[in-house]
Amino acid sequence: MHFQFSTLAFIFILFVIFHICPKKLRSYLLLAGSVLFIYWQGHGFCLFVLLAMTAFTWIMGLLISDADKNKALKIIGGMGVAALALVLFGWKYFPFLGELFHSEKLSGIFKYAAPIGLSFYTFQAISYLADITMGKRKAQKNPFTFALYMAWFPKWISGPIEREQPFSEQIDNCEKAKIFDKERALKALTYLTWGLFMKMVLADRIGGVVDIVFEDPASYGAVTLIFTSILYTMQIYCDFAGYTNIMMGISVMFGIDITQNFKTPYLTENIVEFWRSWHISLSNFLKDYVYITLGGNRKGAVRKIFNVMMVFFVSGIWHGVGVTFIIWGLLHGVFNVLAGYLRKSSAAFLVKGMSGRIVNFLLVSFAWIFFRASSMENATAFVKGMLPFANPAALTEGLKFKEELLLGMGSFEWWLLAICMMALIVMDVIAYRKDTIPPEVIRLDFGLIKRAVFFTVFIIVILIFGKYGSGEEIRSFVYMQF
Amino acid sequence: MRSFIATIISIIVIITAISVSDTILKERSEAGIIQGSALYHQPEDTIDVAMIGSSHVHCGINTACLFNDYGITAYDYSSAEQPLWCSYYYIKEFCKNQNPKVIVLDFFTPAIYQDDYEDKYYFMDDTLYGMKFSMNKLRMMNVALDGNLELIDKYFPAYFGYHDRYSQLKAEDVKEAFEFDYEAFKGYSPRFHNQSFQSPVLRLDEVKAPSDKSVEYLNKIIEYTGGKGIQLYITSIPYAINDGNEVMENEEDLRYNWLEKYVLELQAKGVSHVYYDYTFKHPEDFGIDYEGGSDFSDGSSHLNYYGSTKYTKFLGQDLRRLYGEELLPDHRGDERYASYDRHVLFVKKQVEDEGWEWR
Repeated sequence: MHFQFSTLAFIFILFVIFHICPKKLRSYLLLAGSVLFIYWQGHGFCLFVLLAMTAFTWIMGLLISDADKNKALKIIGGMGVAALALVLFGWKYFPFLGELFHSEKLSGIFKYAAPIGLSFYTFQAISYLADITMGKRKAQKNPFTFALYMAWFPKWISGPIEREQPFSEQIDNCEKAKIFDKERALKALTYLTWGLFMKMVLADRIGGVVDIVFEDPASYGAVTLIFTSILYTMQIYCDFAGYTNIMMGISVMFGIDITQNFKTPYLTENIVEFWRSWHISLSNFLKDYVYITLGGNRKGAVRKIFNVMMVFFVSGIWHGVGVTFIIWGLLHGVFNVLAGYLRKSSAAFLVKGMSGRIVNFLLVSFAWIFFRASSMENATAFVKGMLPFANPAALTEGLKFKEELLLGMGSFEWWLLAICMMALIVMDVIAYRKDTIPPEVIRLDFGLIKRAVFFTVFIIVILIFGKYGSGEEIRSFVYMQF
Repeated sequence: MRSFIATIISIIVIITAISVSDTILKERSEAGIIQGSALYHQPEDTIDVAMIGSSHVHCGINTACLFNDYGITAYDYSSAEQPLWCSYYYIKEFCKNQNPKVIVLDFFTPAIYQDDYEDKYYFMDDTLYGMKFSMNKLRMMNVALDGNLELIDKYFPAYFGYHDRYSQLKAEDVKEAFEFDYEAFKGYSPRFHNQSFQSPVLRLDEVKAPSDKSVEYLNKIIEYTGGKGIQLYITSIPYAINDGNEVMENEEDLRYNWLEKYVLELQAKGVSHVYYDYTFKHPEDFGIDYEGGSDFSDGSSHLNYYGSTKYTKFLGQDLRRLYGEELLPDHRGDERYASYDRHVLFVKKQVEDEGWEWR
């Protein structure tokens, strides 16, 4: 979803019709709007896959509705979950494995590229069937409500991974939504403004620099590479959290609250807390349907380690195709396991307090290198380059202005980035101390004048300095590849 | 109440900031954007002749010369590679605040570019960004961009296309944004370089129509001007015709042949307000120097200052011959047209600054 006229016009028109149409028809309107949006942005193929999966999951759900009382139905439910998982991971990995093992058969099973959003809505479908199989809930009888849960357009591309029951309960809220609702308007505006600031002013600005360095890490010094890895750490946060805030803002316009996916993750004290604050909907999914299903921490220490590593292995392969994603996932697995042991040791300071925060940030930042790199060679070259003794280039090679540009950006852009980054960090720190997120601080804790100044300044900054429009290559949301 | 006031003040500040940034950041390319923008600053109902077409117009028609020598008030309302379908909407835009007596339409673009021209959207920003938002502009965009939503997103709203120019601006750009005398700018952008070409050779025995879309919009222009009582003077501003460019088909002369025949047929049917000057058939009337290189400025064979003055002196004479002083009065000395006096001084200064001779 890009910041462009047609998308803004679509949302505006849907918003107007939403408030004109009879309240009982609102959910159907939102479903129709979502289907239209998916067809427009993803074309017929994306829509077909999503609808097919929706139909399969809904029918399967009805079939196994009493699974908690019937073992056979449990097995069928399990097979349904397995089928969904096979579609997801098969589509992502069969072509890769086919190339790896030179098997045309394997490559040819899923000839077409995975449709946009497959990873997200498949996990939603799995959570739905798994909950019914485990007897946690009954099937959703209304196919339209279920279809809206699967296809709600703000979360179609990159989540969050919603659970069906709390989402369906939101449908009541959307029917009650009034056009002149000051609180709802304020909430929508706050999330939209903060999200657009993170995405368009920060993430997309940093992205250009990161791309340049990652394309050819051998040309840069160790300090430059370390600096770039930190920049990427901020880029991915601003991109994904920014996107989530934008989608929350859009959803709130229609009276629907979606799950908050990020809670100042870089201020957490250790990797365990990090995963309770980063991509929260995915973490919860992996905890509930992988970790706990495998036995969690109830089967001894060795099994716990295995379960943790499995969770992060799945996380890695879910995020992307390739060895680098697996390495990224396994690194987090190792960090998690170590954090568990360090907490009870004399080195607990490494996973607590300010020192814990610094160590955590550096570990996460290091792991992101593998996430961003285009291949193992690229990742290896980058990591090697970060080691001064292994990098023949001068320490700060590349970190100087050449023809008024530093790593592709002029001095004005760097100053702008620095100031905006400071603003983000200050807001994140304030939010962390209040155990909340920046949009909620702005919405609930800022006084009238402070809020007015915030909106005025940030909207102007977004419109003038945001990375959008035909003058720039619009960078797709980083997570749209999943 | 406090909340309401705070909201209103915020909205006012935001709108003001965006408006000021729009003025500063707006591209002012002389390939069409500034021609488009400056039109809205022209005193109402002061322009008698609208010059419409591609960059050959704002390079090749010297509006200062037209006023200085003939007292004819003209405006080069043109843009790079402007297709006929855009020219149609340009004419409608022009007629919102002006009452032109004559439209001079250069036929270069439909002669050289056909619908399969792969760079047909390349200069769209020059054509679009100068025009104010209106239904007319939306219709033009839809036709020019073939209803392609992806392209419409690229060019609309115009602010999205140039808001990021802040990093390219210098202090003098900001100063110029507020101090530029748009009223005295009449679209003419003189060139001060030299380039030589081979003299044109015409094939007169064959005709080839331009694209169906070009013919459709030519007819719309004819109908619109007829309906408004505006004389339509179609021309081919001198350039290096059939230049041997590998990209183009080099059949412009065949299309001018078609146009000549078409206009004659229209006149025979009583459509008397349309006239076509096939300039390449009487080059001696302009004395354009192709091979010596004194009259052309660049590889696209735009006329330079000397070449444009030569052509314009003929054009002024021809417009007077055809339409007389009744339709195109001599406005020299009339205070209402003081902006044209400033325009002449403005162009004179440009010529002097380049070290060329005022003609």
